[in-house]
Amino acid sequence: MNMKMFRRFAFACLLVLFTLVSYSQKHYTISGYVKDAQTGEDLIAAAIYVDEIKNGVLTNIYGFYSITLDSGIYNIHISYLGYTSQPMTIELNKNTKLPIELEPASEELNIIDITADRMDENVRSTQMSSIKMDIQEIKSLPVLFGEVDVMKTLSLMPGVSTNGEGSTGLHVRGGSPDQNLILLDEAPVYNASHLLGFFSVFNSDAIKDVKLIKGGIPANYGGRISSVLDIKMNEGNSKKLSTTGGIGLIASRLTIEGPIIKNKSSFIISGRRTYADLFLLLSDDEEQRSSKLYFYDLNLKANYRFSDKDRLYLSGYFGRDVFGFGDQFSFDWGNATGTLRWNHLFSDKLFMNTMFVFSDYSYKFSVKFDEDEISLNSGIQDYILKADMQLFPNVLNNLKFGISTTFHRFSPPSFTSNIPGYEEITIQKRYALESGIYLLNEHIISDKLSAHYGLRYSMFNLMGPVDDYTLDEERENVTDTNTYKAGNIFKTYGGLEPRLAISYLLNEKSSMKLSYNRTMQYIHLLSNTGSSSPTDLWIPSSAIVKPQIGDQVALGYFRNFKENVFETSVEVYYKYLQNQIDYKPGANIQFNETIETELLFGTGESFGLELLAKKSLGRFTGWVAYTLSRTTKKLKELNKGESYPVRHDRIHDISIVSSYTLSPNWKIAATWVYSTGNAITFPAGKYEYGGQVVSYYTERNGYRMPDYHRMDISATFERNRKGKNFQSSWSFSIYNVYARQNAYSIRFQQSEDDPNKTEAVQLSLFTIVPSVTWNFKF
Amino acid sequence: MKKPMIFVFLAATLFMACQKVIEIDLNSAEPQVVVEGFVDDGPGPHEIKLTYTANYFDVNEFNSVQGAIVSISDGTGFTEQLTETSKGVYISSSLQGIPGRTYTLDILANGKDFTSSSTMPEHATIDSTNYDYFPKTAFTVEGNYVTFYFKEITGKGHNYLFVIYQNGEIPEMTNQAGEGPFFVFEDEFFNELNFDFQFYPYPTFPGDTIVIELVSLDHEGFMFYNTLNATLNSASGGFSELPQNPVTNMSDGAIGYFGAVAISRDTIIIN
Repeated sequence: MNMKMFRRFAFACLLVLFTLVSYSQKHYTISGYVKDAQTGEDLIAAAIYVDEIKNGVLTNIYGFYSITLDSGIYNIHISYLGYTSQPMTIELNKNTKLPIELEPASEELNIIDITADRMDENVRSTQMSSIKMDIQEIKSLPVLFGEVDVMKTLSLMPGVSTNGEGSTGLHVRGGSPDQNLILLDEAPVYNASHLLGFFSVFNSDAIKDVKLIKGGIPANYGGRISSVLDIKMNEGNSKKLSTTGGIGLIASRLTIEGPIIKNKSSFIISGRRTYADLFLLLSDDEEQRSSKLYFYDLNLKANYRFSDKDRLYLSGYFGRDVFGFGDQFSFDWGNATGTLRWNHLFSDKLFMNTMFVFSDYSYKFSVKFDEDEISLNSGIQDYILKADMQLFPNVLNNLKFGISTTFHRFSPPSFTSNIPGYEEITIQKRYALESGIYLLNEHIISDKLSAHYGLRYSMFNLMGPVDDYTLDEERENVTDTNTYKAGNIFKTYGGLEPRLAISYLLNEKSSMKLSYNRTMQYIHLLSNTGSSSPTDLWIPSSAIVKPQIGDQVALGYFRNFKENVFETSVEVYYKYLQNQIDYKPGANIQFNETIETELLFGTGESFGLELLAKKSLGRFTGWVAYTLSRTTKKLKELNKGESYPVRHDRIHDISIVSSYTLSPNWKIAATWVYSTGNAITFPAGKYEYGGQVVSYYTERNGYRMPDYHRMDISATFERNRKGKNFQSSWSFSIYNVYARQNAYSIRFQQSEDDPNKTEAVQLSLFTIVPSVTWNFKF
Repeated sequence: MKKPMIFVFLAATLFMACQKVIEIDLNSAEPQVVVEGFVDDGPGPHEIKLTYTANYFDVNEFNSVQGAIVSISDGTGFTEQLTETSKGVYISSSLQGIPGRTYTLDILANGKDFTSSSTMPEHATIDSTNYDYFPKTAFTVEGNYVTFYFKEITGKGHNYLFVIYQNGEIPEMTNQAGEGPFFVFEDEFFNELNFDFQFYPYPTFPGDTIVIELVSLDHEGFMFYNTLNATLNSASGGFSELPQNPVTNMSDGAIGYFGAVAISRDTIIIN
């Protein structure tokens, strides 16, 4: 049935396609790439605006654009935030290739010059609920330990939060971190955190573009129900060799980029390593001195332009955390991803991107003692084939369609030991195919009305080799086992995922937007700790674990003030999640062949109001973000079947971010965050058992942590040494400047002073953390 | 395995972390009945202790459940009503603890009925016990550390609890390792393992009389103690998993564990 549906859907897609292509034959097309004039980097989502039709297009993620117009003379503006806009007039009487290079705007540039451009994407774009981060902006904000982190900066936007102090797992509109599709150059990243979540794996030096989509997710994305975090790596300077780097409190960074063949091929290598473990060398304890505690990231990318029509990209990421005590104990984990992409222009209207992607997350754990040795490893691997096409039939339609298939290999923990009596434990591997086909159209219906509508069909096939079991109704005992051979598909899920976004321009300054999306997620992360743990386990859907389904509607009002200097938006959303996973008390999710016996299933709900006011132009920039939201979960077996707030449910969440250019040399910035404390479980009583005083719990997450607030400040000093090749800057940062003792956790325990009493002890992590980083470039 | 790691990281950041006792307003729950009772394979008498829960910030005095009707049957048709010898403590007189038998506990307290049952597992025997001296390190206190040895029973489905008594009392944990204080072990991934267990949280000293108990218990017992450890080690927030009550084998909202257990003991004097 599913296969049939798939074919019918594919056929319908083709039909729509041909009608649009034939309709568009009479006009001429302007197309090309928009680049940074100094580095040759492609500019993503640069605006190409045509005065005569009061409309325009954006470049795609490869910097490519295409506009089809009637013949005639047109005034065109090409603009991109942070760059000097370029006006041009062209006479269109044939299909025209128009490559464009934009100069980065200098700091001294008059505000008026910039605002003359069409900086009203906030109002005009059809996409709502999306956040685009400017890497330069991120770099000037205060940070913990001097480490710039896109994930933490994203959490300063409305609708996005982290779990608490020093956590980088993002909760987007009430979703959990594993419900975010995190793509690094199209490769899914399965564990985006280092050091138990204190840092993210994204080295800001290697990143070019960050986009988070919270709602109205377009049909070209699939596989996770909450959000899409699409991160693009730098391509490397194609004009000259350059080196950038930084020395920080806990880590150093070095990036080398340059042309392989000038204007044709470039590369970038970017690395980062922490050296917290070097402090351990100062210890007088032998055990501590031989300890290891660090992480590293390595980003590599190269591209080659065969012709105007063909371009090849190869990118990779390798990162690992390493822990160890001498040779007795070692524990390391990390991601490796690789992406090979081929951009091809069939014509100036049809753009294709085909890719092969590999992604791997794994951890290894081993303990040695004399001759005895135990070791443990686990992971997940993906092999992805994907083709995305973009067709620009006319200026009013931008058609995207594509197909993808992923081969997943899930490797649950396997345990080996040479100690007699220890049994080898191998939880059987699981294999699955996840496929998707989509069609979407970005359609300008009238001067005021535009819509993105699309449909995605996703399918998930569980395949052998596996011994698949059936459980009894209570999900406690195995009743039957079937053995399937390699490649045998024994269970299929699938579903249609409609996506819709509509925007209506009320006037030049304001618009209303509406979106709906259904998303499906076939793989699930099991984690019963409060934070990201390297041993968290990805599992596929199975006969018992149903695919997660998310439905979201969002409505927004967008308005710009003062010639687009101020951008504001109000959004409300409602989200309903099905087949959400939780755990039985005492669940063993690490070593369990029949993992479903430990799981519980229910529904989730989230709704909220998000306000944003932002100023991105001028010497003073920044934003104020406010989120009012509730997120709950409901499971038959937990909390007496009543719905309860999830841990990251925060009622109020405020972020204020500001940055001010004092002089050409100095830039200062400050951020202040406030949020209602996380929902948390506190005891309702206590009792004695076995000589221990034990807390007694009744209500799940019925209490709140104390309110969280914190202010961070930073200053960046950069002396622009004109004519000199070597440039450097200093960044000073103070995290938690007024030393607020925010609660990280609260422990209920027997009092140390008076064993006859119990007390609540609050642990605060970072009270005040200054840091300094020296950055250089030559 | 996440635990030692957390330890390392916390150690690294400890110079910045800070702890303080805070005031929190907590709701109070209706007092609940807490059961702590065992039938073992020794000569008896067997004891069931019944207490109530208390409000969290009250002093650690727990009211006993008095005047309850407590009876245990052994699955062969024999039932005995226990006698309350001191407040909340109910004692058997002729009940025999025999491995393989299923014991059912019945409690009638304040008009409410609570039941539980447990099957006594096979008796596992301690082979030997010794101790080793360890000097002070970054993670451990100087002292003599007791190790005992036993061979895990052939086959699957065996669960054990290891208990140490120092001069007649269960000592407080000195070296914290993020585990315990109840050291339980199941054989799911082991078979006929020559098991050695060092009571690493408990340094002992010359002159101490140490009694080791190897308690064989049912799987519900393993689950109870395992989740009890989790409850005791959990915090609200941070890395901790959501704090929950231990998985009890008592019915109708009572808390605690009733177990039919087989106990092997060994005594060693530290020189």
